[in-house]
Amino acid sequence: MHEWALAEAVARTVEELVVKGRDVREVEVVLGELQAVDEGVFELALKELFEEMRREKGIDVQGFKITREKAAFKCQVCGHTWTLEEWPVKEEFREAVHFVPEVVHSHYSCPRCGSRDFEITAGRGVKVRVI
Amino acid sequence: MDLDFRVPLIRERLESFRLVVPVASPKGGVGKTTVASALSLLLAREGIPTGLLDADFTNPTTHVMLGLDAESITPEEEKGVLPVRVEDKLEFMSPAFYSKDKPLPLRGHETVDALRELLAVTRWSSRILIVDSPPGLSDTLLELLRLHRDSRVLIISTCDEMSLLSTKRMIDFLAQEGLRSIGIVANMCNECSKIQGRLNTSALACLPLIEGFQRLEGNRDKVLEALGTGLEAVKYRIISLL
Repeated sequence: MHEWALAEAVARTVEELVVKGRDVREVEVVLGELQAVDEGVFELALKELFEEMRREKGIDVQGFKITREKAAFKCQVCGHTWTLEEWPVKEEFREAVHFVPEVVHSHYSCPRCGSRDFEITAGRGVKVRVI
Repeated sequence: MDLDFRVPLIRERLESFRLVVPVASPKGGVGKTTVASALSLLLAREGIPTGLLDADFTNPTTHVMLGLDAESITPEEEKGVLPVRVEDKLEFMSPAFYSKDKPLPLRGHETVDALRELLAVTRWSSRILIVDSPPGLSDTLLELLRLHRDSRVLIISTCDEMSLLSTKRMIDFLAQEGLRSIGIVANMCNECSKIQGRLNTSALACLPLIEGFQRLEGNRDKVLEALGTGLEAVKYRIISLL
């Protein structure tokens, strides 16, 4: 369950902010489409970790919400822009991209010119916003 | 406020090691991968739980030195990912397990992102982490040193003038940043006195040029047989720091 490590990283970040005196009321976690994080598993892990943090360290996060962001790409060579809906990553490579999104450059290329030198402009992976 | 949520967990994971050793050189082709691999094998076979990370994201090759087929290996998933156990005391992680030996062209910030991702999700259990870093004062090396200021850099140098100049730059950089080094390994050198003459410090280890070394790549016993004795001083220095 790779999602556990991502949730653990979010929990550690919140803990560090609270320890440094920041008032963390709510956390927004943005799941980028490219990394294809399992939202159910991630949410379960994060709930468990926040509960553990409340029980063991007295740190109480009032709530969190999960939102999703569509992935988008721009070719550095020809300037073409596209989305995963228009040009999907082949099924056989999705697991590798799930673990390290940057390896998409090994298994995917610009649908117009074929270059692997493209930019992930949105929806790479997990992002955290503290409210 | 957007945060890089991975950093606190990465710091926690790196602090769990007694020692983090980036193997580095500003110059390519001096033998970083060879020394990082041989040193890791030497420590592991001494009974020290050792982790080896290939952090050369755009051209990972450490698995080749270790005799592993990256195409057929996918690290096990367990509350993150577990590094691949190469030997009883040696764990190994490489981006090649995910790029599957295909080209991986990354721009600067993407290399940093990939490094953070791998450091955040990998669950090591070793006491020491050896990091095979890419050539240069690279984004990868700078980020690793930013995340873990207690790292002890092992500098690899050959004895030709270009490499000595590069090594001097690395020494100066570490000094300016207040970062520490374990020492210099002079590799493929027949005249290690050049290190003393040019850099005003002696090499911790001096490895000669081994004709036909390429034939040994992938054979861990042979790699260690060829380089183990030469790296004994580095091993003892590291043990003294644990």
